[in-house]
Amino acid sequence: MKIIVYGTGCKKCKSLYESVLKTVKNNAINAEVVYETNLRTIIEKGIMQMPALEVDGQIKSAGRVLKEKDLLLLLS
Amino acid sequence: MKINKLKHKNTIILTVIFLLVAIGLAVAGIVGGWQAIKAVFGFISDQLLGMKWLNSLIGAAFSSMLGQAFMDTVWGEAVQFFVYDTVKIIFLLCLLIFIISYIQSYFPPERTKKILGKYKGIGANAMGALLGTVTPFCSCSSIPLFMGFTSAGISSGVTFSFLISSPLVDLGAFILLASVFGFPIAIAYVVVGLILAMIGGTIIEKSGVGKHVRGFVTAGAAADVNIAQMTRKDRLLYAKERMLATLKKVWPYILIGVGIGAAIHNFIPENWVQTVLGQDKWYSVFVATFVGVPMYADIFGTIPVAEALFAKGVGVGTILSFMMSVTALSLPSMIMLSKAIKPKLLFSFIAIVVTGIIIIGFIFNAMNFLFI
Repeated sequence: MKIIVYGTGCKKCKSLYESVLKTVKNNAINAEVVYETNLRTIIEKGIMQMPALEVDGQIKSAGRVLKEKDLLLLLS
Repeated sequence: MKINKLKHKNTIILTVIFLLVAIGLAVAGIVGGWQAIKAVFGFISDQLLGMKWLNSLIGAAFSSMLGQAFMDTVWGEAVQFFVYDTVKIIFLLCLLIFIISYIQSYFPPERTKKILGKYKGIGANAMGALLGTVTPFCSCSSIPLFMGFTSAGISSGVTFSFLISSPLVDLGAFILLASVFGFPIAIAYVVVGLILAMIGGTIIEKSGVGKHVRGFVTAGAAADVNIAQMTRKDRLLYAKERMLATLKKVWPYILIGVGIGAAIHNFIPENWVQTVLGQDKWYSVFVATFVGVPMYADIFGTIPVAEALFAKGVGVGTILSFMMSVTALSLPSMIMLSKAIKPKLLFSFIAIVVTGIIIIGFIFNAMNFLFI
């Protein structure tokens, strides 16, 4: 599983990234987690709300800081 | 098949509710004339939204605890006002943010971009202003939003119509204003706010200043992204998230606002307020606007101040100017915007919004007699 968290460094973006790391670790999920902050990359993807969560190529959520419980649902 | 049936059921329920309300109003109108219809709306804004019964309840509770004699003093009244207003606003906030966020989950900026890309001309400005009211937009998304809109072929004027209406007009503001001033003023506020957004956006584009966007914004191409569809459970979760996040962010503003409101209500003499902000003073709108611009508060925090000023006879226009200037422009969002647009455009944007707010203030003050 490849998880990308798109953010520009604001508090919310970092929160989501940390939340994803925690969820992956606590549930022994086999996933590569990347934190992408390059604005050009983000724009070219068409993402307009930060932070955004991409799982295996699909944007699952945008503009939300998800907690572990909700992340689990999205990552399954 | 199952999903279709469910969608139909919801549409039917909504239609039935709408019809019931319409029939109810029609019956009230036939039986009691225009007065009866006004009474219904008055009831909604006074008791349902304004929760005047709560004030009575709290007054009674405090009377029994601290004695009626104390409650009759300024301190007693201040305490009652403080508790009542705080409870009322927090309750309204939770209810409104929840419902509105649920609605907004249907209008993510990505979808707004797709819709707006199809319109041209003044219709596009109108669409931009309208969508600005229902699209959830955090100022930290200013840059990607700008870039996304621009690369979808949306003109700078339409983007700015969106940016102006977004913080200024939304469903929450509408309901809150209805609770303080009643529906006529709330509706007028929304209409005027949308017009301001449309005109502002058009001016920015026609004057050419809309071109002063920073280079990197227009450079890249952006895809149309499809975010995974939200289920009803997702939307409810999202609504709850936003409600809690807003409450957490905004509660200090509410307490401060209620505190100031209580002070104005009970301790500041009416003629002081009148001297600075009285309707007959030509400078009241300017004072209200320029005091409000450098300040930022959430609109929920401005409500108690608005209520208190209204009770002290400050004109509706002056109060609206104050509320709009406090909520429409904030330092964080200006900083984020300045990363995407050049100073000339930023200052034009601010100037247009401020001018519009001042004009609206004068218009509503002049129309005071219509509403009161």
